Amino acid sequence: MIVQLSVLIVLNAITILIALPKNVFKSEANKIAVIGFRLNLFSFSSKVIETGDLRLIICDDFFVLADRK
Amino acid sequence: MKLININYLTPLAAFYNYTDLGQFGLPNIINKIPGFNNSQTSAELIFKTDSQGQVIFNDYFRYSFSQVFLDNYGGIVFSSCTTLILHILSLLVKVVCKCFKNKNSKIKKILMATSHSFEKSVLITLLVSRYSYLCSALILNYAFLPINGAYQQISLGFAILYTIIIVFFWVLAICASFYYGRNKAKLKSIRPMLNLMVLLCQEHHVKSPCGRIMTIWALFANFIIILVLELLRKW
Repeated sequence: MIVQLSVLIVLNAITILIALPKNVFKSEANKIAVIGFRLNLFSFSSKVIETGDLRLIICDDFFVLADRK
Repeated sequence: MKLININYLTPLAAFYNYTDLGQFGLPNIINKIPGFNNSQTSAELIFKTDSQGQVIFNDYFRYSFSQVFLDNYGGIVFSSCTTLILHILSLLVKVVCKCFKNKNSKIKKILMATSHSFEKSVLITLLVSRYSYLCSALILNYAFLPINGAYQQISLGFAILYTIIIVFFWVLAICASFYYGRNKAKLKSIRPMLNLMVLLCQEHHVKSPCGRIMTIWALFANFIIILVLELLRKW
């Protein structure tokens, strides 16, 4: 678990570091979106590791009603 | 009436303890192929069922298309079919454009612009919108190599096909990050293919080294994140 968390921290930190300099994104909105997404992804991934429930990655809150034939 | 979660990745039953073995959300037409019943018999043993004996998750390939609303873009195979149809439509629009004799026709210009826009964006939209799903489906497929039934074999076939596509895009993204200055002449031959990556790269500054590597880094980092999370139970 520590190894996984470390890998996730490193990957997300590198992405944020790459995104931080001035001339990377053409618009500031994109930069904020990428950094925000990475922070969110990290917290989400930590939750997956903590609970051990991999389905959290893929599951959204979308549930679909379907009639069975 | 049954509640099913379409967003749920339809992975290997061995991994999730239940669900079907069609990681790629194969359409229900697959259940008509010879050998499907054999594979289902083996899979039934590991399906998790509720008190009424109903399978809880992921037998949506048994549903007809009209019954299942595939949220977002649906399964990978379904998304690919949609993409293919859109691509064919854009080609049809091009053919229709050729029927216009007036070169200055406004309608013709609008149709051509729409067609070009479609052609540019349709493939990359498929890749980006289904990237995490695709990565996890591929990782699970290769981790468990399901070949004990026709349905699983077809799924593996899709896995191989999508691996080729994904590797192709990675290579293109690497080439795009080197496509600058003197290297432009060297990479001239792949210039038309780099057009596929335009949408992914256009938000980044080409002049900055960080901007150039951002696309490939984002693809690579997301893949590794999925890999790390998928190997959760193996570490």
